[in-house]
Amino acid sequence: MNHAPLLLFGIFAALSTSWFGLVVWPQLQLGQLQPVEIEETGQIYPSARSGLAQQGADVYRANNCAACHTQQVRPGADIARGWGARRTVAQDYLFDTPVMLGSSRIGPDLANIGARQIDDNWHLLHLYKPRLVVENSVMPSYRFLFTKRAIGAKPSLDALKLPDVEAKRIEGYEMVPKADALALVAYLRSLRSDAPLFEAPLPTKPKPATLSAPSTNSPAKK
Amino acid sequence: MSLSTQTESRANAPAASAEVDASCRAPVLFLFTSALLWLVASGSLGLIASLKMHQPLLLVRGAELTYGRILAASSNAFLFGFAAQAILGVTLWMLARLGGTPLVRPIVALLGAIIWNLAVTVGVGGILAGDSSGYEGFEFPSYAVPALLTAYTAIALCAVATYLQRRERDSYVSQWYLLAGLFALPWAYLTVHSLLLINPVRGVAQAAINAWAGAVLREIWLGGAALAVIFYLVPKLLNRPLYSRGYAQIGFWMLLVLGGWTGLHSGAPLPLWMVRMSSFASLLMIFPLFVVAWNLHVTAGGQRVFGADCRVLAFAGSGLVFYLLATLVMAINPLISEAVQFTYYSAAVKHIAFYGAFSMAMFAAIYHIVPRLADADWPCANPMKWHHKLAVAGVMLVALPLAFAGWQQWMGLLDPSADFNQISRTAMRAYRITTIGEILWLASSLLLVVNLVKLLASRFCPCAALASCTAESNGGAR
Repeated sequence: MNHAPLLLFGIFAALSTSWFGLVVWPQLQLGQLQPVEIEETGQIYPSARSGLAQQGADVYRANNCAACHTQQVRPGADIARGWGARRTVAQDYLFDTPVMLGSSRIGPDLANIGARQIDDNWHLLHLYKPRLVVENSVMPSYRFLFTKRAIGAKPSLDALKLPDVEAKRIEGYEMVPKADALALVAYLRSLRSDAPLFEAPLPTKPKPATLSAPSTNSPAKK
Repeated sequence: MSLSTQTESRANAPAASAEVDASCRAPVLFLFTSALLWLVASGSLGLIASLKMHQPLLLVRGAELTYGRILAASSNAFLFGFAAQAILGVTLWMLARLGGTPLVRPIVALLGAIIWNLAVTVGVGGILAGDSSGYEGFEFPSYAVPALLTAYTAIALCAVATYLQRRERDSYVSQWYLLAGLFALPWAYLTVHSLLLINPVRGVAQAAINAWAGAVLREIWLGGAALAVIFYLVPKLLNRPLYSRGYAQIGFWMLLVLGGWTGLHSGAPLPLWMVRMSSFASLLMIFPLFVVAWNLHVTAGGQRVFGADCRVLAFAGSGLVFYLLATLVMAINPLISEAVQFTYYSAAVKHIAFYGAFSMAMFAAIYHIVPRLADADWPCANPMKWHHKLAVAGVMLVALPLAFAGWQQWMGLLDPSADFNQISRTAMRAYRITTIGEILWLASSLLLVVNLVKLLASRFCPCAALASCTAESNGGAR
């Protein structure tokens, strides 16, 4: 190890083993992945997000929502908890950049939040003040995604539909979601990985009614 | 005990030490000072994040102070503000000292260090402004990276040139680790930059790349630097030769081959073979760990390292103990990962690795190196003692509550019908204690900064008389 070129080459060679394994090889194995047609429904999966949802993904990234929320369903306990109908696989993330799997669950997993919660106003209220809809939630308020406006002659159509307690608290004012809030909700609504795939079939043969296309938003839980 | 009077156990080229130290003075002192300022910045952000976690209604008006952004800013300020500069400073000095040759082109290294600081400032500012890249551990926006890599190249070239011009032909284990780290960081960051930020690959291959780069950073760059310092200081301060160069080689090469594999976890949406390989590599990390521990154990020959009277040695010893603990826990992680993954337990382990193992080793290095460069002793030993106590307490008071909270989450999640929010709330009770740990840690960092500023002022400022030890010696220990 006193011969400098040999030491430097050894370092290079040793580091390249894991580099080939986890950087180059996944690219060879997964780089050619394409959307597939789901046999049961004839739909192409996954489909690219809408423009608004894509902007929402940017809001999700900018505010590092992944610090507290994962987007991956592991086989077993996660499914029992109702976080997904099946485990998530590579196919589910085909159109995500960046892929935000997350590494910590201070809050629940969001891989299928678009299937669990389909009410836009619920999502907006939750972002505005989580404790309005989830008792004693530990999530911070994303107040900065909303504008406080004095109510004019008549309330704005796009104002947040607040519960009475909160509406009374800010009497004379209304909360209007900014573009970022609407985009973020569109993104959350787009999050669902429950299409039956060859490599990750749904556990039981579901009835035709629950095998719906993403657009119908049937809840996976409840 | 006076540090500068301790004998040199490894023979440098005769009469070179003073010359070597003089050549390193400007860049290394600059790197260390700015590293410690970033440590304080990162600690302050970490404290805010910790507060916000259990006070979710605190500071919610501005997007810049969102928990997610603060957390990412804090960890990136730690990694690239503190860790990178501390490692580079140690690398420049140690390669020059162990090679028995003056640093090559110190002015280039100094310029590189200045640019590096500007790039890190832009990066951290970018994260707070919402331009985070979204890849954990590499959140700097892509516009900050070219300057970062340019600055790094400038400093690294000086380091490599210094190594190649060494007069001491025999290389020592510390040099291997530092050289490996010198290559590992830009390799990892260049991979992230080109394959994730500039021209992103599709789908979950991104996650694999992110995991690889993160593991290289954690195991080889941070872990290797900690080991380099420990392998340098323990034999030197105990005045005993290293027990076995062969063992050191085994530990080194195993870490290098295995380190990058260890980042994936079971259940990830990746091909199964990758996850299996990663778990296997994690388990194999037991061997380099054991080899390193045994080598240092025999080297110490029964002398106290952990609770040593010599403060530098005590820091190095704490770093070693935390390193062994963190690596052991990470090695057996695949066995329990399904239960503890995504809980606070993982955060606890990471905290021990970064703030326990790595930072303690770096503090030891800074305490050892700075007096040699400044040619002056630390103005007072008291803050050093307090720094050590507060830092160890700070690490423990974050890691232990986190580990306990993680255990609570684990137990809570065993029942699939249990309310998730309730589990989070239960774990939050223990989490509150981490705020105290963060405060202690920040106070300990401030102590070191105050001590360093006083030393530099007494050495380089004409009004040296002002820097007396007695009045403010515990000023940072509020």
